Amino acid sequence: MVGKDDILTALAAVPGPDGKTPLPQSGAIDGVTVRDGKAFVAIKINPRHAKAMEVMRAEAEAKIKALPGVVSALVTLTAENEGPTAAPQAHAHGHAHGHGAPGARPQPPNARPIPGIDKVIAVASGKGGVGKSTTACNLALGLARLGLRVGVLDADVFGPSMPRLFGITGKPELAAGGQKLKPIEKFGVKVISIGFLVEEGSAVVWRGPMVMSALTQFLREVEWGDLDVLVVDMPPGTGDAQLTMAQTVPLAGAVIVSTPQDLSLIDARRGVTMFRQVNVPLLGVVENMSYFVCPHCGGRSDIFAHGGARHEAEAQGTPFLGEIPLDLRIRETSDGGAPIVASAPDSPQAKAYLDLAARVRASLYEGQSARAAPRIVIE
Amino acid sequence: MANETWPTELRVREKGRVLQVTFEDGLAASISAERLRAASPSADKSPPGAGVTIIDLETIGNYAARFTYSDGHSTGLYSWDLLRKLAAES
Repeated sequence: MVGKDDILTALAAVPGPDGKTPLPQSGAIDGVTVRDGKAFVAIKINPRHAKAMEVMRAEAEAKIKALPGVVSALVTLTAENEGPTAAPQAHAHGHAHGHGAPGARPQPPNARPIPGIDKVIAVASGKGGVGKSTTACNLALGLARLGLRVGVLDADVFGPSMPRLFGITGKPELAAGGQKLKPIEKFGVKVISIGFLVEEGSAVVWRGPMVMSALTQFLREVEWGDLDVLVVDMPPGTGDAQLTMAQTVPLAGAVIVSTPQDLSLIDARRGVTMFRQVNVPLLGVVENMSYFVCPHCGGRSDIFAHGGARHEAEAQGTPFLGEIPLDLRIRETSDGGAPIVASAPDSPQAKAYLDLAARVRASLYEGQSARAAPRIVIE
Repeated sequence: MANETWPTELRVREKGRVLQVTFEDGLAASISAERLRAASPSADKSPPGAGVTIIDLETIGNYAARFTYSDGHSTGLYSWDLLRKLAAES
């Protein structure tokens, strides 16, 4: 009778995943089962290297088959969960099979464009409370009014604002096939948010890797369909979520939102610096809550000072994208789930956003865009 | 984001022993896997294995590449600037 030890002895002649250490010593063998001369062996591998590991798998199978008394041998490769980025990759692998593409190989996981989505842009700010989500929402609606097919991804998992801004209360459904989530469409824009999946007011208490995993799934496991632009509403700051977005997709650009006062601008500068570091083109800086026109007397007050973002943009050598006033109607429509660009597109307030959208579109399609990634060749 | 530092091609040659990198301005250089591995910017400072080779390579966002080496090291993200620096020194 062939036993487990015979299998392991035979496998000692096969180099493990690193190409040197014999398989039994490599720690990659996940399980060996022998029953009635039929051998089953599972080898844990990093799913990123599945293609390269095929040679090892075939060799191991041949070695076991050559053993006297072995009727059949089946060696399978299993994905090893080695870290936060591994989980979504394992998913992607499952998908390729789920969609009935025989022999489909897992794609290289990182920085690959999302099929169907032309450009992904991030709306970010250095600090919270500057109106980033309101800007992202109205910018998306503005881009849609310019005739683009637009999606909104709410990446602020700890403080999702899109359900309230868009006035969406329903839950997203599973798309045909049951593998992907369907975004919810409102005002002609497709929206996905963690807020659709948890009660309003309940807290999402997650560690970094959970956030990374959720964002990767929102990008790749949502049935976005064909989009010209996906607007990503970032959480404030320069943390895990921002880095995940910058590493997972080739971002076409970033829009930085800031209020004009110095306290906000200092943080906006950090945002600019972060995107520079990861080579994400800066589409420009928006000055939100730029000025206040009194509805009673018509007098204008520069509550947070004025023009600071313009100066900062000039100092940083990035375009200035425009000023959005601090305005009661913008606040009311945002809280009421009927964003101003959708509910009153001809209002002067909406015009500020439409101008912003036009400038963003111009720098996306005419200005400095993200350059092509280098060609990768492994001989 | 200096223009000249953007690479146009990363080519792994000689069974993973050499990385050939070509930049937009035409600069091309070969960097040995050992040298690349030793220059890894990772916080994981495990000593390189002898005769280390590159077994995989992927791009990270718009700004870096990650190499997986035969000694199991794969946590270094090599920015275009770092690759440029290594190329200029060879």
